[in-house]
Amino acid sequence: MIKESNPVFVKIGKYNEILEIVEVINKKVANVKQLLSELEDLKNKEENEIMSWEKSMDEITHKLESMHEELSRG
Amino acid sequence: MSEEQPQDEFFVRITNPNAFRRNLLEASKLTLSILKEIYRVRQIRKTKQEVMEGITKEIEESKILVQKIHELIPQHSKEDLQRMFPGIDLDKLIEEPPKPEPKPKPQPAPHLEVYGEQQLQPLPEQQPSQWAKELTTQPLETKPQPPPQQPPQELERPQEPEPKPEQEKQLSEIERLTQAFDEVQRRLQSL
Repeated sequence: MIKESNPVFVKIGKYNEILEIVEVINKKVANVKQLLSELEDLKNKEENEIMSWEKSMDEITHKLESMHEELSRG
Repeated sequence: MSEEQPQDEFFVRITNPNAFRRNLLEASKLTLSILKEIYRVRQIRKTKQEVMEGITKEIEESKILVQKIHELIPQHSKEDLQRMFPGIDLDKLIEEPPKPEPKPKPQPAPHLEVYGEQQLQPLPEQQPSQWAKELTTQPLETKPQPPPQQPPQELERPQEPEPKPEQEKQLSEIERLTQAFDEVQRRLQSL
């Protein structure tokens, strides 16, 4: 840990290259963030579809039960 | 077969045939819609897979770039800095982090401890090294390995290259600059 009162100057040979790499990493991080939000959207879509399945299955079950009841009663 | 069929026939009374028909059709429609949704979910999962692969690729590339930055940033130990800047008191400048408990180091073989200007001494033939003893005592060994007569020269630690005149010049320049900075800092503190 370096004390705050004593500034230290470190020579960095390929400073511009480091800056460029940092820029590339920043872009990649932004890209990953965008991909993660896309993934979140897809996940939500999938969950919605599955919920829709459940709802449809409930309806089908209900209709089948009523038909079965109708057939059994006769 | 044809005689058995009349026995299987059974007439059921449907009280509300329209509702029954409607239920049947709606159930078929829902089944079809579920099949359609299955296809849609498959597409979503495929896209999800692609997105996840993209994220993994980006993260891997970022890791490599971070490693590259790590390589480009200068890293010196305290000893290196002390050698480069002998005028600076690093103990005052740098606060030592709490050291972890030292691990017991494995004792090196006696013939490996010799380095620097000391010459390696050949081991006496009566005292072979441990690995040589193990080799000779193995049952499958047909030809026992003789103990090394002379220690291999490769085991010597490489001596640090002597600083070149240009490096010496640079170091003296750095030293001079460091002293000048120290002087300036001293004067500033006195003000």
